[in-house]
Amino acid sequence: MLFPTIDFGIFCLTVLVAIWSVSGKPAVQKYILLAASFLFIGYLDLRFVPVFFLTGCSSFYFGKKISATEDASKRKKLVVASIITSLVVLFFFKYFSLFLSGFNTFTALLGIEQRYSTHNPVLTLGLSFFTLQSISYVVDLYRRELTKSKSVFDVMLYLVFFPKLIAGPVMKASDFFAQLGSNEEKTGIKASQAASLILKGLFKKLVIANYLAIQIVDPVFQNPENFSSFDAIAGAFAFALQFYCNFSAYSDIASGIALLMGYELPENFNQPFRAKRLRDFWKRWNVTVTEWFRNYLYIQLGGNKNGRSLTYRNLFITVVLGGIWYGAGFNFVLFGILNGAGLVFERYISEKRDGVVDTLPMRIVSSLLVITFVSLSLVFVRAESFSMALDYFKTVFRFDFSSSFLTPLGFSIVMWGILSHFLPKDWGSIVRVNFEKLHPLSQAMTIGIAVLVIRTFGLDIEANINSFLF
Amino acid sequence: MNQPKQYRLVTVIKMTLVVVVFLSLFNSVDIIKWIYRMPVESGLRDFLIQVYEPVYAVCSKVPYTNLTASTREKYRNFAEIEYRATMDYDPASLLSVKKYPWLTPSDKKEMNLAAKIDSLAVNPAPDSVTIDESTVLQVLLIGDSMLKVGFGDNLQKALKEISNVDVTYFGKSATGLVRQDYFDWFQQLDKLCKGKKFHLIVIMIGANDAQGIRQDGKDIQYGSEPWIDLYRSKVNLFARMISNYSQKFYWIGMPPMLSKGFDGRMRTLSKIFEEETGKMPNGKFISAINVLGDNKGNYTAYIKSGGKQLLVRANDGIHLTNSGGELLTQAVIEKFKVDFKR
Repeated sequence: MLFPTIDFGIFCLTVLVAIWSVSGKPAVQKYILLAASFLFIGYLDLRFVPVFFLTGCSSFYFGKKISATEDASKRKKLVVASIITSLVVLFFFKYFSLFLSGFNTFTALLGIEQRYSTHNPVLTLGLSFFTLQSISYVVDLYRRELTKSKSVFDVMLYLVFFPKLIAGPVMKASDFFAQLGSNEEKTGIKASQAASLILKGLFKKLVIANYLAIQIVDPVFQNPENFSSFDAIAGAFAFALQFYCNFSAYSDIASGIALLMGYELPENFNQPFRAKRLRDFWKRWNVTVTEWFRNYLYIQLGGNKNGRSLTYRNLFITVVLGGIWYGAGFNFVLFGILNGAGLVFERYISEKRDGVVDTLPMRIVSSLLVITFVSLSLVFVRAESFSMALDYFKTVFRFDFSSSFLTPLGFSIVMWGILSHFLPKDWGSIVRVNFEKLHPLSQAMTIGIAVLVIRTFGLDIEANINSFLF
Repeated sequence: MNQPKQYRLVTVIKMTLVVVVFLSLFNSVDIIKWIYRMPVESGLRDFLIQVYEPVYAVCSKVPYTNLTASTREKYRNFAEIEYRATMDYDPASLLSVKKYPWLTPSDKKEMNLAAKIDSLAVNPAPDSVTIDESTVLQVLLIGDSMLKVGFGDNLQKALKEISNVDVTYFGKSATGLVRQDYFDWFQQLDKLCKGKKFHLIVIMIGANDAQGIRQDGKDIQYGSEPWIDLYRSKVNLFARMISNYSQKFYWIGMPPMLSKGFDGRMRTLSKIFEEETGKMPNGKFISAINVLGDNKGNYTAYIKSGGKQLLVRANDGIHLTNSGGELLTQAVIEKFKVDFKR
């Protein structure tokens, strides 16, 4: 039951009706949302429910203990114990098969015949986001950014709130609880903003991302040697765009649904392809996750306070771990290493060269370099194996630009997809303001027509659950 | 930036209701397809069919209510989108004319399997085929993700290395012979083979077929006697079609599966493939269990080959790894070398 499906639409509609029917009773609404979130988890796989429930209970327990004591050393031990518990659960369910696969390779090198099955019986969708938030909760209590522990229902709802469970955004515990507390004061629903977010998400996922996947990315990455270098490069750009559209679409839809329920989720993508530097790209890409890694890992490691070489080290470790967080595979490790090295190199260069002229041509060249670097590093994420990635790069370095399989439509979608990041950010609000001037009946019909248009030009694709094993 | 407008709850509820009714009427094809896709065992599916099928049956005859389907077809033609002919189907063909008499026969495109089977003659074939040195051997590889993941590319590569071979390769994940409503392999085979005669067709399909079949407004439960009969007739028809389009064909059975229940279901289907392939004079069944099972024919993730332990199965316990695909390729190539001589 992933987002752009009728199943999810009906589930969501049922939850909304239930919540709206008890408007003015925020406590009841919370229970409904919590029950719906566990139903959502159970629908994905019933075996997920105890995993999320028990890990959530452990975070609640440690949080309660942390806020009950003033003893600094005890608080530290408790927060460490809570983080280790969350990470052990994440490691076991997400990374254990990767670990075993590495172990099997290692023993094979030593000539030992013992092998372990790398089959992972429970693929816990959304556990990565859940883990980041459970750590955020206990660390915020430890840092006293949260003054006191919350009820077990509030903590659980913060961790498993279903719109943001699968693909974020990640919320700071303090921000979420602030909204839980203010439920009584809510006067209206930002329905037009919610509709525009949901429609934008559906368009990005069904029309753009699925088109790119079927028409460009899948053919190129299945048999790169059958394509020209031009097509291979276009394939990498198309995959970067597909990855962005998929991921940001889920965030948009999540934010839209949450708004209808009376919750505001933070913005997760801020036109990342307009970034002039790699650092800027990561500030705009999956903003809430980048922020989390900055707040809870980079700064914790010492940030940039202990000299240049330690700053480089901290930056590199943070980005590599970020890469591993994105997915359980050596390809994601490589993706992290490439981006970590890229960021360190960029920082080194910028420290050496002050006062780079910020002209328009320079900005264009910088943006192009960033897009190219990110797209090529994502090749390791898309290719099914390391050898497939090498096949891909062999095709690129054949320097064969004699032909292309791209249709004018395919080319236009890739170009427009990237160039749209350079539009003024609030152009969408102009459409929304005009939409709000319509009669509510016309607004509803417009939404219906928009859905039909998206369905007409959108493409069905087999739900690739592995794309969302965050 | 303008602040978003705040709507009263009553207004939002009314607007939602309008959107739902609007989409139920103007997007009925997608909704009925979604209902048909629900698990056959689900009680909710039966309930929704009772409620929504009449709505769809009416909408399918009202002008402009299914504008999206025709526009979509035009867009997909214009955009040259692959699979367009087979991803879409007309749900009206699944409705019962008795129940909805206003549906004309042209709305119903049922495939009369018995008639089709009778119309297809089967070519007798020699034990081995001798080919001129100069002849380009035409080979077609078709199947679901069992072919696509790990196996198809290896087989294609190996065939090209052996001999002067032109390989046509068509794999489509999440498809099978059961859900013709979702993807019509019979139609696809016709498309792939139109005006051609292949020297060899290799097929590996069936992993998605252990599910109910909906026919003439009724669901036939997976594993029931009518299901087995109907599925056997589909396999028989497909084998006959392949047989007619090729000089020789190999039907590859399903390998052992990690999940016991799924393994049992796949063995049942493989038995049907083996029996129906055996009825064709130019068909050979290749057992993947012999190649990818342990010495008792059970599931194993690792197989010792050439002094090395090879990981032959993917993490899902269903698909093949590259090494697994290579082993299965070897088995096919052995047969190929016997059957095709230059």
